Amino acid sequence: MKAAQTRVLTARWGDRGSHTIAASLASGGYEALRKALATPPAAVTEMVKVAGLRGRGGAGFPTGVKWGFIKRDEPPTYLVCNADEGEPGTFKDRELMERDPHQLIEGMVIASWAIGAAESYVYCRGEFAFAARRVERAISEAYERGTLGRNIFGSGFDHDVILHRGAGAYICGEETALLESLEGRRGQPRVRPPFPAQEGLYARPTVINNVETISCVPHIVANGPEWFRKFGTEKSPGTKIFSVSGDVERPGNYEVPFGTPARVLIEELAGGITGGRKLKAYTPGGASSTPVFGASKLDVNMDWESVQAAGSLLGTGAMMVFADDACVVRAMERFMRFYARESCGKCTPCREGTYWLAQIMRRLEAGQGRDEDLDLMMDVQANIGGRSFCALGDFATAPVISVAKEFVDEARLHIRNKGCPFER
Amino acid sequence: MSAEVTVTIDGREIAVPAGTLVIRAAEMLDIYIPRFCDHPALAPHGACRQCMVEVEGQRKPLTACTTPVTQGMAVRTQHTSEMAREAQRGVLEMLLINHPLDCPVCDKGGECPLQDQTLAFGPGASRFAGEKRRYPKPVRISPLILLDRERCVLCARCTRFSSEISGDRFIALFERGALQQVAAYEDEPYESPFSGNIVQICPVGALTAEPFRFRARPFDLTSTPSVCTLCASGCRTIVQTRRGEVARILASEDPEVNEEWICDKGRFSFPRAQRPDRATEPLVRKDGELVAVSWAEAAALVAERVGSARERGAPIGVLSGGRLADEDAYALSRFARGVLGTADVDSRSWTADGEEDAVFASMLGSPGATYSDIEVSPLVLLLGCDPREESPILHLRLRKALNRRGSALFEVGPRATALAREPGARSILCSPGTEAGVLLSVAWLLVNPFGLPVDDATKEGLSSPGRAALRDASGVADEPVLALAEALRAAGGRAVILAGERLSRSPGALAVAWNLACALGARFGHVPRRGGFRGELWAGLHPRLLPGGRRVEDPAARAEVERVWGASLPPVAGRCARAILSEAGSLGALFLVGADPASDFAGFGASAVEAAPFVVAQDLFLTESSRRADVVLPARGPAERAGTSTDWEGRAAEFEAAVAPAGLSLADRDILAMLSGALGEAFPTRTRDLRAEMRVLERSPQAPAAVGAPTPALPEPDGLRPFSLVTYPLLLDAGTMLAGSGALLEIARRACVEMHPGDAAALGVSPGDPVRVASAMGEIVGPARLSAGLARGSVFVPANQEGLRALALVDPFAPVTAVRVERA
Repeated sequence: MKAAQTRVLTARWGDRGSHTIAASLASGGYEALRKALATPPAAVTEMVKVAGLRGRGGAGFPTGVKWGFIKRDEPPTYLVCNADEGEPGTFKDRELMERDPHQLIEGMVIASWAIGAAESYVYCRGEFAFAARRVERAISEAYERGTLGRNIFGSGFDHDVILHRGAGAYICGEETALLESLEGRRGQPRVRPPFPAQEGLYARPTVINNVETISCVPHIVANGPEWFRKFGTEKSPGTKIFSVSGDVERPGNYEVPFGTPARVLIEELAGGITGGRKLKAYTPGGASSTPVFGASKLDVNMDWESVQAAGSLLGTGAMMVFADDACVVRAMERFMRFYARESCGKCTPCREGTYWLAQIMRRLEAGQGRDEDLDLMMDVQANIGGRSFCALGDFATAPVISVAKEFVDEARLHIRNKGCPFER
Repeated sequence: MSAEVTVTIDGREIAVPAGTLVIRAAEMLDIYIPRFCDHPALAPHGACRQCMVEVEGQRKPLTACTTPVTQGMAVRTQHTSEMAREAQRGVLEMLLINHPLDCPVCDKGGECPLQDQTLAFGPGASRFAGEKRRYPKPVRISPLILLDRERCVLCARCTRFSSEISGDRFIALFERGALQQVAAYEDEPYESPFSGNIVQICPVGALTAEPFRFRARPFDLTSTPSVCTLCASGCRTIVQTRRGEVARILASEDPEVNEEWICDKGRFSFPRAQRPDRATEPLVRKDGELVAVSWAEAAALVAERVGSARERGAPIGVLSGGRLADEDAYALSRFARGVLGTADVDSRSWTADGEEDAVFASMLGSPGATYSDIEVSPLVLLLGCDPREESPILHLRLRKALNRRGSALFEVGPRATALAREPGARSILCSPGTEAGVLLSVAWLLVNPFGLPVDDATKEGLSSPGRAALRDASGVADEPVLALAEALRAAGGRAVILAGERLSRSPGALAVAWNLACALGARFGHVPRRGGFRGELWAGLHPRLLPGGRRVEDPAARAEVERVWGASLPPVAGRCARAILSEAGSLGALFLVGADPASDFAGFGASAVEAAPFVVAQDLFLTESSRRADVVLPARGPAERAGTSTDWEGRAAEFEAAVAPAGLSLADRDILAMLSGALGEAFPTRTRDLRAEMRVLERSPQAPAAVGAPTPALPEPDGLRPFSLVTYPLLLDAGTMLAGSGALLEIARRACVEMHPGDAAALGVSPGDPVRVASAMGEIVGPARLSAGLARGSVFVPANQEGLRALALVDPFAPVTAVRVERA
């Protein structure tokens, strides 16, 4: 292996019993919390702002700015940790929760101190039974050791963390749908405005942060924003965990500084394409990154700006890798089916559009497509993107755009061949 | 908040309050933006995306139904923007991919927004070549409502109506994606007295109503604006007819009254008009049987019998039943007092003593509470009224005040209403008949610690020893009384006090409530159950009141009426309905005009009708009373004659006849004019003449004045019958106006005997057990239902449910009926 990871968030992953509070405390866990509680909340928020921490859930919104929206002196306010990691190909939050849940809890208490929240929630994806158990156990350990509950570290700050498990809907990763679900209703996105920072959980000011985002917070507080900015790029500071999967030798989560080339992640860290085949395509950020990259984009640096400049989106950093004998049309048809199933059904373009596109892509993949289907697909997706209620609809256009932009020849081959040209 | 901002839509400028949605601002400019999910009465939803418009400076089109205007915003709709047009075209195409092409057999066809918009903006053909989603159809989500899921555009208007407006969340969206669908619970049926509204606001044919399904095409119907008179809510409706028969009734819009909702009783009970027991020709009893005769013969017989009674000086009783149009009520009052010369006139079906007439007299002459007052009031005190059952639209308005305006509501009575579950509502449960004691305690607190100035009569009532005893008997703790007094003090003149007709079952309570309103400067409203009651009260169908709320005892007031009528009026107060009926045997004649004492007063009323030597019944139907009458004169029903109806607020609304009258029936006013003629007396024969007289008799508004309060009386404890009966009719019951309404009656609640869990435990009664309730008048047996929303020592039985008629238990001589309760 030529390249090595930069272990910040994943530093404890190799340790035995890394998920326990004993291991956490032995390696400096909760020291950042002690420091934060001795720091004025506004200064903590400022630290996160200066560090340039950006949301790891996909949108990359500056975290400190988000916290700054909250009127701290009008309680109650809430922090919600979005652990509904549903983006296809993404599995970093799961491992963060399974291997180092105390890092997350510490980050949540610090964030709650900054925004004045007496309660915070972990909204955990329903399928993550093991991760949920680990977090649950970590919460009770934290209460036992006094790093949660009343008067934490004698600071006078009280805080409770509540774990809530979702019921397995992709839409609940959308923050307002998540809040609906958390309040006990159907997970469907809310009308904005009001934004969660004004009226979020139980109509109170609420911050919603991703697991990985919150896990960065203790490190920023412990080492200072300048230290954090040493990693990554000017506009994408820090490290990022990339979930690499698919046709690679060593699929898994790899933590590297932002700006690391995709080639390093795929060819070096993940060990390259299996069976000596060649790379055909990869998603830079899960199924929702538009469009997938072909082999020519292997040297794109993995940070928000570079991926966007190359024409796609960094998203969650889920790199699904396809070798040259994989059928991209088929892969995209799977993605499309995923969106059709996971569309919450609230708005017309997403609900009906994905239903329609899934049918078109199915016949295309099965070799029953027509020449005009490619144009029709592009026309239908144009009526979804930018017109749906929430971002799910925008993301749902990704498979179509991927086919049309990067792999249109492969699609035409399906039509001409009246079937899939690939064996696999 | 109400700062104005200027916005430009399609190049036209308008100033609107900040926060106004683009779609509303466009409406103000008469610019129509197509929409499906948007509904002005519901919270913004943004789901259908049909209303997308272009907003200058925005990269993407925005939904007009969720975007508030901002200062200087420039909006371009489909009329001027290619972006908006393109976006709307895309949405319409998508809405149609899963929508069946069954317009020719769909009930909505002809009044369908989806059909209309497709015609106006849609493509001629679909590019969708796949498979549409299909569902088994229809789903019967209630006996009244059917759902064809494949037609649904998932706008969620129906589910939002259920959660936001009617508050009965029995339908919800289920599943995800294209399979998302409206569904009802498997184990809980969709039971709502407002269910018809979801059919009316459905923008496609997904929801249809059983009584109209496959009956007619909307474009074949003739529409007549009307007013529903089944209760005192005063809802504006549209009666739609086909071939002279009512095919459908829709809610019409009046922001001051029913907004745009009506209840299912008003919407679905019209099939009664075609019932076989409808009186269609004059009937006269010959050899014990009622036989059809001519109007002339019937009128001559009435004139002969009434004439001889008048000569003998035998008293004549005249009862109405709260079902008349205002003009008919006025004609009846004029006929009874001016032509028959009697003062024994009453429209009440309840037992009440002296205080009512003083309150009513002042109330009729002064401005009272309105729906709008309720909506903006910080505090409503609700007494002796269960709005969901007795005035459903009032229930909706109170719900709106509580949920949207953050108002508070206190109710005092033996049984909590459905409103008690709403935020800000509080129910003070007291033993039946002790409301006066609770209210006097509230008044006492307001006067003494809080220093509210009150008149001497109220003060006197406060210091009466009866107050404390009654308060003790009520079983109410100090805290809620204090909380209510504090809330009233804080709200002051902005409070609204609403009293139902059942408050009169606690002697003195109505007067205290009225006097409290006077002292606070609060608005007062009297909410009767029946739609014609307020008009009948105004007309003077009351033993102590003349038209306009004039007191019989007041010579000047009497003279004003005599001048208009050209007749001299008896200077004495008459007897109330109960007193008239208890001496029915000595009457010269008994006139029942839309009155059915044999039902309202059960056995007591039936015996009275039997005992009266000569009974004339003007009615729509052969009721328990009219089938016992000597002469039955067929009257025209609600949609069959024009008139005016006055709601509980005192707001009058005119309506037109919508259908041809049944058989030979005549409007009540015309029958009375005919009878006057037969008696040789002059009588106005035209509606407009009656209206002119009514206008002359209208009094100029005065300030409400406090009334003398009777000393509250403690209900006598009855050792044998330790429970108090609470009873009133539910919205949907076995009443005359509902019989024959088909599917509507299937959603009527099943009869039960409701008791407090504590009382049930003491008697060893479990839910569903048969329970016997026995009064001095009779007994009934029904299944037990336990409810903590009932005062201890009380038992609630709906007055008139099929198979269990609590009316048969009611003691007409006591304000509260004592009963024995035991496991049967």
